[in-house]
Amino acid sequence: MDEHEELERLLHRELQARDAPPGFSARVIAKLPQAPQPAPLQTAHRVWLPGLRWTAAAVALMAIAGGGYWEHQRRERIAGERARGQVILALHISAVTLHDVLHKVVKDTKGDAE
Amino acid sequence: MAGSTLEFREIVEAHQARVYSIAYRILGDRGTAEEVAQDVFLELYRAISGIASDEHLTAWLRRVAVHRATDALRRRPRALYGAAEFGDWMTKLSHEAASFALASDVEKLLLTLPPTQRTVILLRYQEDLLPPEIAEVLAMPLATVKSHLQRALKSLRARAQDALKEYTRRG
Repeated sequence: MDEHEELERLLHRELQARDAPPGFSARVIAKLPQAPQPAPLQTAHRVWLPGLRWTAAAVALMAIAGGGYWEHQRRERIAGERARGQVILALHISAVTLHDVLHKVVKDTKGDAE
Repeated sequence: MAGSTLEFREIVEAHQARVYSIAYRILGDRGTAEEVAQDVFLELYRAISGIASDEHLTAWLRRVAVHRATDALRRRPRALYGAAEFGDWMTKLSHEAASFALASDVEKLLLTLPPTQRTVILLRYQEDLLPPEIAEVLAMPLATVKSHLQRALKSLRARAQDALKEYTRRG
């Protein structure tokens, strides 16, 4: 170990923090102002409140967007079902009409033959 | 962070050695060091709501202790141990080698340095900070910190030859 390293080792070892004089903390506490300090949670509130606000805003936006999307889907589904019903009705009407026409044609053909 | 007196007392007890040591080693005098250390904790009490974590607390105490001790030093006419006193001390040291307390003598050696070099050595070896971290605490360019550190070590090495030999001889 060279001289420089030896000196650094010495400084590291001998410059450890030394104890404060006995009764130091009591003397500090005795000098504290009497007015109560802010509650400990205030710091946490200060840290967390902006985060909570943003989270709440994001949740609200998601709820609004989700609700809008759900309503849109519901209307689309109702319109689809209505259109499907109309198509089925139209097909039914067409089938009945065709049946009637066919029946009439058959009847007329039989009459002519007789 | 703590708001009640009980919680604040725990903070003081956890950090008093660090704060007192910084003040004592910059000032070299126990009475003023205690006053400065007390003032640092009273300042902390007023600022406690702005402290966000244990790391922040340690860094805050370190920075404020260094600056308050340096301010107190500037208010003095001269440092406690000047060059003349150092010569007397070294002479005395050579005659008392068997009985002196080495930690105290390293602190005395530290006090022979100019205040800025002293503070840089303190932050490097007591607080175990790297030069970039010291630069941040002292709001000083990194190159300046390195220069102070090198000059301080050179100066200490030159002045501490006898004490170092005695220290290594005793293991």
